[in-house]
Amino acid sequence: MMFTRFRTSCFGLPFAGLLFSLALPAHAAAPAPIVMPSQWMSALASQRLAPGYRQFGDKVDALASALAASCEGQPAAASAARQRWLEAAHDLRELSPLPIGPVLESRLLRRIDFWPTRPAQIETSIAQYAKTPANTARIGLPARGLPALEYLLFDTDRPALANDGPACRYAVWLARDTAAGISATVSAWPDWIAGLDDAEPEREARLLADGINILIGSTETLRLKYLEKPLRPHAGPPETDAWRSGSAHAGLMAYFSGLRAGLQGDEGMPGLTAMLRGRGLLTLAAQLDQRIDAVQTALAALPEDFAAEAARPLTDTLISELGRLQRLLAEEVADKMSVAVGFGENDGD
Amino acid sequence: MATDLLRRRLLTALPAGLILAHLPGTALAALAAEPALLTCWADSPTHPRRFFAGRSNDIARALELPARGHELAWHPSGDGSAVVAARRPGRFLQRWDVASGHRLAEFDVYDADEDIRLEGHLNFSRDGRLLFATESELINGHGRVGVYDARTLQRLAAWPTGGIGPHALMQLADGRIAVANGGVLTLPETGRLKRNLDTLDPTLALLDPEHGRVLAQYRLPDPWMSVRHIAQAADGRIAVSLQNEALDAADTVNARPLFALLADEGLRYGSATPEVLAACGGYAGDIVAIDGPKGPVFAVSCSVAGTLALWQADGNFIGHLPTPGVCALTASRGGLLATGDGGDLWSIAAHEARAQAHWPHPFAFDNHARPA
Repeated sequence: MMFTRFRTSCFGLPFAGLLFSLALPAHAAAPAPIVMPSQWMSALASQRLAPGYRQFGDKVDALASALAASCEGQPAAASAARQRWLEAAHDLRELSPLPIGPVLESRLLRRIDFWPTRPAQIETSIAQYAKTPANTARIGLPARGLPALEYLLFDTDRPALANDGPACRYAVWLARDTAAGISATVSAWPDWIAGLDDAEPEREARLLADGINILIGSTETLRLKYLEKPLRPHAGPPETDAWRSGSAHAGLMAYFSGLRAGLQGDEGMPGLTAMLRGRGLLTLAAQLDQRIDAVQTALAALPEDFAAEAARPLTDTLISELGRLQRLLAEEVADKMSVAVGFGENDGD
Repeated sequence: MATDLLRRRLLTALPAGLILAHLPGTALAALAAEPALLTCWADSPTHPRRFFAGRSNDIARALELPARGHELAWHPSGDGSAVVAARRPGRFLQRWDVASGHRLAEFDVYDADEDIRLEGHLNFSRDGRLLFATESELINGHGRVGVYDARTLQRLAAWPTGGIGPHALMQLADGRIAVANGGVLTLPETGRLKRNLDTLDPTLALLDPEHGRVLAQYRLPDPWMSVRHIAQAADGRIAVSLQNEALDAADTVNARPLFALLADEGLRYGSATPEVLAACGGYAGDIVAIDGPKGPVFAVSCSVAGTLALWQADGNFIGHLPTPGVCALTASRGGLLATGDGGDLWSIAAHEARAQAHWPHPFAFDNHARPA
């Protein structure tokens, strides 16, 4: 279905210089429009990521404003700040599976999304900020970004921000610091997108390798970081992503939604499957669609409290389906697209 | 005894290539007792799904790993435990009781107070209290040596290595820590894709073992020759094995020996004729020093080319022999053992560049090994 939607919309794209070094197999006539890696990236960036980061930045700005109001004693502002955080966190999760272009170069996501949250470092940084607010360079990444803000806004074991002036002022700074990082990325998208025009074959090959490897990496991140690692037996409750705000389940859904956009595209926006079909790899594209659907089905079956012991069979199914999707991408897809895989198990060092 | 005599006669009568080509592994295995190794392996050379660490002759009690393992070492306490590092970009260090396969301690990068990944290699401090493991921080890729409690694997500190993409490390006889800064930048988002091949700056760095200060850095004249693994002979001589990361590595103009010595003036290549360069290719997976009565020898596994190459400690080339998929090298009782990702285990007469025995296995040996 994604293919049909794209096929009707991509005829408007420029097709000059479409053939690149990764030539079509001799026996396969292209039954669908060829999609160049630069077109794939350009569509993702211009239709999803650039506007997405702009909206994300706006939400973090709104969060900073709500926090500032909360620090000034406005009673409703604390609740508003929590809501703004939830909205911003949703955007972050939806954007984070596609760290391409300026986001990859600036390392933005690693600067604002440290996990697992480190309460001790955050508390130390609050005291440090209270003492020397101009000297923020020494505040480490574990004490920055949205997870640190989640701790300050939602953790029930620490005083509410409204009753903790130093922590509240630190939270305002954190939100502004996060917004500043996002803002730098927002302003970098137009040049990056423009630079994709008339990409040379070497650049096309790099974009393809980056794109496929990022999708493999994000599939692995969903499987390992957001499921396997936090659900591994250990003392204390499972530390799923965003458990303090109760948005772990929503975060998984948002993350896969973003990943799926890179894999299958969206209305008028090609995904990896459109590239496969453009090269005549119809069966492989269909297999990929099936694997994606299987993950979606497993994800949909997951209960809100997916970290509970009772949900273990369902999380195991999801982990298994993600592993199968990752293997298909890292083996068959990468092989057919002549891409060196950075996540393979069969290369040494 | 009769078997030993038969084996000796056989081995002296036939050149190594002939032995490997014409004697089935089972026949050779019958002639010599197979040495055991502490190593990692995968269930399949082509489609690995399960990964293990343990004794090569006791696979039933191996430790199953969450992902592929790389370097490993016996715990210096002599308690029968060992520590394994995940292959880079790696997430774990695990200490386990080798005889039982039970896990004793674990470090996961997500438990660190920083955004890091492991780079595959480890080494114990000489007093056995600390474990050093290479790592990279993930914002700008700077290499570091992570310092751990050798027993609990609690991460205690991190020291900059002065380069990018550190791989092997080794505490030298004089106490300094040698680190192979491979120079290749990779990012967690794109796995092992190399992102800076046009600006490489590989070095061999020497660090102060007390505080981790970089004491010296050595470079080869060719920045595309990435320093990956380190060995030191009993007489103190230090050598490294290399990987050719030239953008056009297939061009013979860029071909270089995969072996270099650390001499007074810095790193210098071992000798190699064009034929040797061609036989070795561009990828060395391991290096080991073998100390024998004729002086030390350095062995280098040229994994992709399937060649084991040997140099004298003065840099003169000794010879090479075909060893498909060879990678892990270890010195055992004055001899050289090598394994390959096709499941082969070879015993090599290092000074003669000659295979003495070969044992096949139904699994894929990983890149590093220690005597069991």
